[in-house]
Amino acid sequence: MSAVSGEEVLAVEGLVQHFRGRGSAWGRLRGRPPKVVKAVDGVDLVLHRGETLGLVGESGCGKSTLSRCAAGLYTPTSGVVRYAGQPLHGAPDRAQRRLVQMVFQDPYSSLNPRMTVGQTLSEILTYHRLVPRAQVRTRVGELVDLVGLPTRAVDQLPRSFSGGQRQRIGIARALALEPQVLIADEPVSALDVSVQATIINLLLDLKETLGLSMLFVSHNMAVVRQISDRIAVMHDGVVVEEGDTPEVFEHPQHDYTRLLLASVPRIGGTPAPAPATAGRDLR
Amino acid sequence: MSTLVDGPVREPRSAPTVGTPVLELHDVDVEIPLPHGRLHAVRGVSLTAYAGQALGLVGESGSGKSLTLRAAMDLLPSPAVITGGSVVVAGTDVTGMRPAQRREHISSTMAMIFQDALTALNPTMRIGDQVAEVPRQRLGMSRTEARARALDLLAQVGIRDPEQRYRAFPHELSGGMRQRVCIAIALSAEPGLILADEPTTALDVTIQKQVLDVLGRLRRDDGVGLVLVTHDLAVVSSTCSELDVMYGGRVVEEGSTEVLLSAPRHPYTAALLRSVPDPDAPVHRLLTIPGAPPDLLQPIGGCAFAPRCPAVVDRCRTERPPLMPLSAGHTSACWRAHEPQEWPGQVGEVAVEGVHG
Repeated sequence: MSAVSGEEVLAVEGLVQHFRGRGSAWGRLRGRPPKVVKAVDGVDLVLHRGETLGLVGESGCGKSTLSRCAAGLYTPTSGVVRYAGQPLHGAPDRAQRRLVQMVFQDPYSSLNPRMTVGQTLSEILTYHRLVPRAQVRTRVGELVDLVGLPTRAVDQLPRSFSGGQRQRIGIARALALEPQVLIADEPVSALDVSVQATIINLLLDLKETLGLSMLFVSHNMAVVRQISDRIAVMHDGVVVEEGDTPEVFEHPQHDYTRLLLASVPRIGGTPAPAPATAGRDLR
Repeated sequence: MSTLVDGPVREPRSAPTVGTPVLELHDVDVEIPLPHGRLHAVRGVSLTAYAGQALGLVGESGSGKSLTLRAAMDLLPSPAVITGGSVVVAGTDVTGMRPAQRREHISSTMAMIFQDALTALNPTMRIGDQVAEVPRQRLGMSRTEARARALDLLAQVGIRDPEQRYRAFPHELSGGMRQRVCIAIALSAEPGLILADEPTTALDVTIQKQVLDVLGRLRRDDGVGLVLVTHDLAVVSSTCSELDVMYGGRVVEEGSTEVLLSAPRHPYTAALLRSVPDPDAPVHRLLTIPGAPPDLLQPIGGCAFAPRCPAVVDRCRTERPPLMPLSAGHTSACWRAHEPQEWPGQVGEVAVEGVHG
């Protein structure tokens, strides 16, 4: 199943990320402690080389926070994220941190509207001194080509692209840093189904050709099944179930996983008789 | 819905008989005047929604599905306007009515719920008061009666402990609860039909299921019809019995959901279906639709899908196929719909194409 060589690329150990609210002004005067949101509350995960790990769960379960910690965007409250055995946070050089890159959900707001695709990509290449200045232009062309955009895209602003094309730019930006690990946080949930399919195929191709390892965060079970070798199910800040994709889908062990799978609407599935929902809410 | 002015007081109506048409659109055109031309977003759409029936309207961004719904509800965002055709609500053509009269007629027959429940609700008003507003203002109930009615509606949409939740503000509720409040508000005018524009797209799957169950129960128990606009074929499959597929501002295929999703007779429907990942049967690669949607600023000569269609013939590029009947209740706007061929990449083939690597 999982084409895993067994080598760990990214490891999350005992990760905890709490956010402290400010509390109300009145509460502060009264000396009440501010509320603490335990977004991630003790998670261990391992991503192997060449593997795609799907991280699923509902809004507020902590999957995005976890992915941002793993990408080094948040400094965790406690716990460690290791890239190839070395702690990612506090890594002294950029070279280490650039090996884990992120693709964001919203292809509209995650690009600078005033920079052309070429400028966005060459800025990264120049800053990280990945290629000699004279070759920046060529490399930008290669990247644009790699994600399946036309060459003329280099001189265009994000506004002239459709959602799917913008997500391709977002992927090119992540790939510009020649990462080993790609962390994709809901990369297709803002896209139409047919466009979604093209982006999923692109990610599958890139994973193959570049030998990437991927942490794929999504609430869409069908998409996750399509793309992942293994799956981790998160609920309330902890991983409740983890396993090979077909195993989790066909023999879910945890109640929450079962509920999640039963709630997925299916094409051709007969309209389910409505259970007595009155007076019952899970939240 | 929460900014209703005082309208004429009227008696609460009983829901119309199941099977009577509540909403009929005949050749509706919607155009958006833009600085560089007129965007012809909806191009001659005809459809009928019946009481007690769930009709799905699917298509991708820009297919005109949302504007069709808003045109029916007289809620087109400015500067979009209806430029042709007629909208018939509960047997009365509303196209020629004066605006105030039209809104009164439409809002007494149909109600709408939106994708983003948080922005649809008034953030400064307690949710109970928002639900009680229509019974109080429009149905002429007393404060006490309206409150009782609101509590009733909140319970009906599955809000536990409505007495206590009555005093909550929208920001205090979860997304699923907010959408339920919106449904309660929609129900407060006792509509025969609910128009829902992507009502569960912003919700988690478990919550989505609960909201869809509420809508399903209202349809079965109270005969409230539903027009569901969505891009999610799986949601339509589990909710709607009838389906209209839109592309480039037109309905391209129409029929029962079961037939359309198992044996589509329009290449676009077939293509859309095969690009949806199946949670139970992963494939090696998803099939995609090459090319891009049509530019609606331009007139389209033949079939709008022709440039992307795997089954295209010369005629498709020059002559636009009308909706042609195939069997009872099943129509398709494709010149080749009658040919006894399997569309390339139909659902059945994809499911067995490969096993997850």
